[in-house]
Amino acid sequence: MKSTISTRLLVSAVALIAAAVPALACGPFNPIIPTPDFFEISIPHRTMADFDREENLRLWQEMTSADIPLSDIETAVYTRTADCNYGNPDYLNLLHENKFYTFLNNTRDEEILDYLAKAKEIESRRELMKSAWYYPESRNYYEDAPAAMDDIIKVCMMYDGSRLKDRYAMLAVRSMFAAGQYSRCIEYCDTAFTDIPDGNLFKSMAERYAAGAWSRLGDVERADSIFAKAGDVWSVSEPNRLDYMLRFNPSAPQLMEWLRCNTDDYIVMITAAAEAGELLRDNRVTNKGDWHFLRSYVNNLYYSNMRLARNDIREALKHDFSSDELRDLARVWRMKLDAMSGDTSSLLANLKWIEEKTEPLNSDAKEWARRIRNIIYADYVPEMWRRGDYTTAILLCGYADNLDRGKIRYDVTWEYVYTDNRCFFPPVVSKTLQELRKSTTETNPSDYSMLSFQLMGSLSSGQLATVYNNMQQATPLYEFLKRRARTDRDYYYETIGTLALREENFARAEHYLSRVSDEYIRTMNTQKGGYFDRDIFDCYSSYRFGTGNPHSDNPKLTFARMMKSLKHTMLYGSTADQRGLAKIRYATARRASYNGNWALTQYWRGYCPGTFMAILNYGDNEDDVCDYSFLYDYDTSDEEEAIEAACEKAIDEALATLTTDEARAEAQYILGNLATVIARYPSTTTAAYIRTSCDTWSTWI
Amino acid sequence: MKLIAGAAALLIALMTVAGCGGNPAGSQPCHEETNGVYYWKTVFAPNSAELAFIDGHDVGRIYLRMFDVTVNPDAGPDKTVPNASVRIDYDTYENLMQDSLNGKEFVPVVYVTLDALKRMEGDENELAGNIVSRLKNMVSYNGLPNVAEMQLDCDWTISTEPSYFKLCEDVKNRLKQEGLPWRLSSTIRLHQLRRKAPPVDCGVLMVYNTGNFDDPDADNSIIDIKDIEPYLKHIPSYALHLDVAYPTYSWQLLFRKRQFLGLMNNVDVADTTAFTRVAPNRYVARRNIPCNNRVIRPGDMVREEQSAYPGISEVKERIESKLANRPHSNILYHLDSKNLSKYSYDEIDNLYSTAR
Repeated sequence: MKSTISTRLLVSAVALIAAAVPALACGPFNPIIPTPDFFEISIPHRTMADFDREENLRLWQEMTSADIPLSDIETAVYTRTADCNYGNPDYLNLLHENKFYTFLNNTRDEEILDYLAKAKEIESRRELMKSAWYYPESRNYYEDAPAAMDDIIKVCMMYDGSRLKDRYAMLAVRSMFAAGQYSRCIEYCDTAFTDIPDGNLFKSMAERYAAGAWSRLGDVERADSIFAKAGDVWSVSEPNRLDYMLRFNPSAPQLMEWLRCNTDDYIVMITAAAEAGELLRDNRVTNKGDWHFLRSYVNNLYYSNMRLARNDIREALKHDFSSDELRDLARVWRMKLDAMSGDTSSLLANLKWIEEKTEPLNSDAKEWARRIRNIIYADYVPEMWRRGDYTTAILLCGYADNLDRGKIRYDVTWEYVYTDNRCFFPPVVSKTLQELRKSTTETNPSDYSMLSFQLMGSLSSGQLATVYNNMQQATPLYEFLKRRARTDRDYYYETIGTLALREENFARAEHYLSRVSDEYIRTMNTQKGGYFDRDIFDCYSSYRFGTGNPHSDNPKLTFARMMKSLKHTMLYGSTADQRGLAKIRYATARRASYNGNWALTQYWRGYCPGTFMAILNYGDNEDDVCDYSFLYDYDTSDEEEAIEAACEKAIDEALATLTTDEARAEAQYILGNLATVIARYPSTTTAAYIRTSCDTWSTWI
Repeated sequence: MKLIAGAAALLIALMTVAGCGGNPAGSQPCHEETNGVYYWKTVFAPNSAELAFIDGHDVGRIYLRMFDVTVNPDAGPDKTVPNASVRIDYDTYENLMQDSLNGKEFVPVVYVTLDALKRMEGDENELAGNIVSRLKNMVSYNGLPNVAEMQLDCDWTISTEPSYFKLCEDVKNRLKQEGLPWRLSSTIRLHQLRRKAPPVDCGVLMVYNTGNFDDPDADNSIIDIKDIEPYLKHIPSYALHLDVAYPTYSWQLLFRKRQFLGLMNNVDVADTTAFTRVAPNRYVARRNIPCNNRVIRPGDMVREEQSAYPGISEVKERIESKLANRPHSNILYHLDSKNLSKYSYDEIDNLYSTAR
């Protein structure tokens, strides 16, 4: 070092610039976290009719063939289908399309076909009877009631087979009820199902029609008890229907369904949770798993008692549930509670289990993906970040980010085409993320905007380098997560290099950026968008000084090397002018790298409706809104003022150190002040160059 | 001489034409002449006095209100719906099948509100189908005997006339489609006499509610010769067989500051502590009087209107003179033993007589 004073000044100037960059922003920042259902049901829920329907379809399938899709059975049984005769072309079409009808036709099962025809006739008449204009044609002599269904009731009662006995008996009861023959409905129900066991679906349905008849006749209490025993919580008229159901039929899966639809009813839920204690001691209760689950949910939601919630959910999984769905939900709820407690002991096993549920063939795959994301984003990642385990946090986050992206296809045709005076949209073309990652023309929709990338960007370059090294460990958890999370070297090294550029650590930036393949750089969105086409300095200097190189294969590397070189000259230049000019170029370039050449230090700029917003927020709480623009949008980041101020100051200081007019002229040229060059330094080579080379006179005359 | 004979023949011919009511269609008999009565209650359960009335006065035709057609108050597929359908319990149903009413002709009547008619403009065919279909089932279900005619009752206006006439046509077509050999009749209100007759087989001239009941200055809105007189001239030439319905009911109308409030029932206007008689049929309340679901306040006026025999008789005489030799039947509105008990046997007989 030559001059200790000037060196100290320069060092301090450099340090000032560096110091002007505020400490890297905190993390992590939760996205708008998906809010899936764990125990509650927020989508339209099932009613008793849906429970009946599901069981009925299953029974038809059992009676005919397991190869017949339930959807075909549903179409045949529950929708209006054509009259089942060969003269009807609609029926012939059905035989080709509907496996249930095809099966019945091929096996000549006239018994079932006849039954279906009668059932549909009854439905058709019931529909007619719903009209305000309906009036029965004749009285029933059995009781003073319409005889609208008498003929078909008689036919249903005449069935003397065994295969469909329960179904015909139910049809008869249903018809009597529809015709308002309530007494008859009750009496027939009592006799027709004597030798049919309890638990039979059609017996249960018939008993509920009889309950309706009792209700019409004024015996509401009896009606309620029948409904409750059947699990039909929706038909119970008793005001405190929860209490009523708990007395009569706490094991009813319908009751649990109803409770799950009322989780926001505080009174209902705490009552149910309080009653659960008693029920769990009752040997008659078969779905103890459900009740432990409910209690766990209430303990967490309403009492914030994590210990009790975890105890209950562990117990739940040792017992039977009323459905596989609830068992699965209980397991994922346990996963949620583990995450909220920071317990990772079962994390890998649970992830392996739950990932299968996100397979595209599952109709509720998206909901399961939302559950995984909720648990990871809301609980695991913040906890790990708090502990300083950035590697696991980023890997987990990357796993959640990419959970289903391997299979999702992205539309790549957006723009309409205008040709021959017509405007039209070309056919949709879609690609997978893997294909888009390799594309040098189409935008990569997620790798530079997802949460894990934002977490990466919130670290220092050194920290991120450590993260990358750590994730090379072949632990079972990391190996599992790396199947989905993006962990390729180019992706990380490029980001580390960019962070280093921001930190003015150009040596590190050069180290990492030089190891990024050109092929990767060509796939980056900033590269595809042409954001590196502009020279780091304005156009006036490019021809003479050529310090910008807009067409570099690796613009960031070129920039890093240039800045490293300028830094060296700032410190070790042989003259004050050399050092001063280097400082001016350095400050100008640094400022430009956050401004016109923002792509050198950021991955996104501006706002485009419908695409990624560089803002994460929790919703209505403004204090929680966290602006990621330090990575994305310099214009609005807090760093802007600091860097602007530091650069201005550095430039002013550097200008003050220049000793010759040539240097001063060159400085003003670098700063774009062409008129100042001509006015103040007219005899310099810079002024001569301007007069002979710059086409836009207004900029310097 | 020849000229005089010719002129006389011409004069006789003209008189014959005039004496026949001026229109051959109107003088065609629609159905057998017989005494008739309207039954307008929601539950058809004539008591012994009413059954005795029917027998005692040879009432051969009972016009039974089956339902009203009103605008559907709820959202739903039907724009109009049947309302206040008549109920006939099982005992009455059995009676109908037995002798007491078995020989009587029943004419089911459907009252179509003006709002309902307007609502169904353009869809008269659909309304006709609904009415006929429901009526057919009601007749069958309730065992109404000897049904050979159905009646539409509607206070149509000039603007709704095309719609009502279309409805009548559609009902007739529908009756044919359903295989029902029923005639179609319609009520005719006095103001409708000026208009063209609806396309039905016969009409019933409603000679009641002749005035505006909500007019505080009206004397008797049920029946008043002054209200009827202007319309009498249309009767002879009216191109439809006309039976005539006369009122036998009474009511009390409540007014407050000359505003009509509603119909009342059984208000004891003879109580001089409660009312002051200010005119032959007008009483002013002297104090607050709770009555049904209302409170009659001091100063409120109750107008009692009767269908007094002299008044009806006077009107009947004028109408009969206009009907002259046109076959017709007389009908009383309506079958209610309490109201009918105010008339003597002879008075009822006189009301039923057709002076032919």
